[in-house]
Amino acid sequence: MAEKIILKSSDGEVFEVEETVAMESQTIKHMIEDDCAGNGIPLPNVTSKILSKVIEYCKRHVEASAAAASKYAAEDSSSKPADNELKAWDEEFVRVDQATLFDLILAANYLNIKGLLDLTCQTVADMIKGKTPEEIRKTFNIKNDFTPEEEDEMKVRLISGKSTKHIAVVWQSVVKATEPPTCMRLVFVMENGNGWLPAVVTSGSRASAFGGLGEYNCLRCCLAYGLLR
Amino acid sequence: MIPAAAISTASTGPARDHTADLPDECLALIFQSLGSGDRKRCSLVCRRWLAVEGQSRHRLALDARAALLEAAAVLFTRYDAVSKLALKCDRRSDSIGDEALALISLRCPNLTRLKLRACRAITECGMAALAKHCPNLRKLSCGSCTFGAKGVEVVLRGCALLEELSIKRLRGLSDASADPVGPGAAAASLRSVCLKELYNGQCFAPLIAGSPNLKILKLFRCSGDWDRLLEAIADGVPGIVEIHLEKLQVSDRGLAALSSCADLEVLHLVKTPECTDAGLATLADKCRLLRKIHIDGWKTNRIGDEGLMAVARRCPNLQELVLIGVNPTTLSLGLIASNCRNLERLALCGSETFGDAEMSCIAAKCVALKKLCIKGCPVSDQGMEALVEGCPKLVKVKVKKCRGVTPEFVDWLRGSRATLAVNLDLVSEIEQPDATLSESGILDNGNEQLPAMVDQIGSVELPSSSNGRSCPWRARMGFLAGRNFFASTFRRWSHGSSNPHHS
Repeated sequence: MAEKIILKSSDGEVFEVEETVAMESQTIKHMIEDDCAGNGIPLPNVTSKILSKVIEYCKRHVEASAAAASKYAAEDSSSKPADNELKAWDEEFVRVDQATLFDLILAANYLNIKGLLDLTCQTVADMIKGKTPEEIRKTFNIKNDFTPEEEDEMKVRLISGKSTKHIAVVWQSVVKATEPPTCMRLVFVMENGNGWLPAVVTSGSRASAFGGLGEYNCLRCCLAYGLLR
Repeated sequence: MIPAAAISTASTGPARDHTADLPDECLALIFQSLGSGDRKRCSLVCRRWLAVEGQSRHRLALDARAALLEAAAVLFTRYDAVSKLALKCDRRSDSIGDEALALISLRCPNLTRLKLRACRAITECGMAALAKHCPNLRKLSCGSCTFGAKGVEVVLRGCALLEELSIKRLRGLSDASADPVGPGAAAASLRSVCLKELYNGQCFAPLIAGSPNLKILKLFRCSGDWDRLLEAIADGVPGIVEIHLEKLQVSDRGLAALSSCADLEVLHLVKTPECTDAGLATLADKCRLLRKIHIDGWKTNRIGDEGLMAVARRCPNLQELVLIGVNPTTLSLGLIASNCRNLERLALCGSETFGDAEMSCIAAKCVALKKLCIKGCPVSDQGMEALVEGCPKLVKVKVKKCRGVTPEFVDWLRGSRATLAVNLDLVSEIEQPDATLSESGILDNGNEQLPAMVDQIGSVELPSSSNGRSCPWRARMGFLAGRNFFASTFRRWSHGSSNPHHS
């Protein structure tokens, strides 16, 4: 006789779910173990719309685990098709509008459901991949709250040195240099794909002083920011 | 992955920034799935993203040329939660020194993993600072540094949680002042030790012998006689599970010493021509739990059917067998196939004796085989035909540089057995046939590799490659230089002349 747990959404709707399904949420699991589930568990942070989706997710995944367990017991090693099915189901599950997606993240975080949290966060990450900062802002309607000076500063940072000016530069795009700079002694810290490249250019010398990627970034950056005459 | 277009960005109300609703830890979780470039771009989206990205950046790779010192303070103000750090310098430049390392370690108190490459200006003082400020260090990997045994010792004394230690081309080990190095405070926690290309690597003998929880030991191309050392340490490391011996002066004596490690599961014996069938048999006799065996016999025929038959008789758990430059026949292969019912992955490279008879034998008897890879062997279409019916669990077969196997046949095989993935690489005119055999360990690019085809098996753990700055011309130069070195080394060994590196 499967135990049922009552869950109450923020807008007053009542959901009856099997205990195994409810326990996909670590938060609820702890409440059940601490014996606080008596009259139903209120979830003031989760609307009925989102809660029904969360329950749907948990149900599907509990089913999948049970099926996998029984297959394992039956020594049937072909679990691949079932894995692919579940994956496809997950992909379909997160095909929702942004509002719902982020509400799911919040719910998964609050209810502590690791699988759902990972799935939803990965989905958002996939929306970010390969985009420029401006494209990312557009996708998520994020306001650029850097002042123009701050944006510049993130790209050009002055660290006072001894007798020469040292500048640390964060540069994100690859640009080709056109002319050699007439420069003072500079220390650049640039980012290539993976890391930061310190480099030193002495007066009058060209990009060859740098080594590795990003040499041209640096010079063009300095020209663009009027650091070099 | 879900294309962005599939997710509707047209919300039902006025457009709003939903990411603002997320707590920092959720935003950080999203950043975790992103690579370095994407994270960089995220940090430029808005102030909040800049802050969260910096705080949640745990992994950082820096070019450790001397100039890094000036930028370090700024960098680590932004990235204040780094736990995995790589500091890599190139060989031509001056690297950061003790001052920079001290500053960096001060700023990264939660450091768990550190990788140092060619940071030649760091001395034991810098390492002492590291040990002092980063007591939670779990993994240290250093290559081409010069801080000597003392530099390693201070870390072992200060970092009681150290689990993995990898030392490659460390200078300063043969100093008169270099005492043998013990495990220090890390004795109980050390799990894995890897020593590569060391002169007087024997100074780490007490380190190995004094770590009772050591599970993995890898010794690559270190000079000197290792038989004695293996005899000395074998008692100290009874729980050892994985051993790699490559291009070492080690013989059956050393293998006999290792046979007292009854828990041994993984054995890599690569280009150790003084190890023979007798040694392998002694080892197999006592180490019944062996499940992965890689042997590169370097075509010296010291290991062959006899040794493999001993393995077949004693090691029923064998899951993976890779033979390079070894010449087994149906005698041993048949026995392995019959006795090792769990054999899932088999690879043969450069076996002059692996022909159609051997292929048929494998096909008929290896009931559990999932992946098969054959390279540079005299097998032909005829032998391969056995795969239509044989090896019922076979999922993938790769054939490379086997002149007797034709593309037409492979197409036919694919048609006859739909669930089998067949990969055929033809002989290329340009490559020298021997190149692929001596490839392993010679490429001077810091990556330890067994021949590329082993990747197909997916079982060899290759160290993660560096930040993608590959230098093919350098690798080739290194390859050529290395090939001469090892050719001459082998001549020395086979002529029994004394090792010039005797200390």
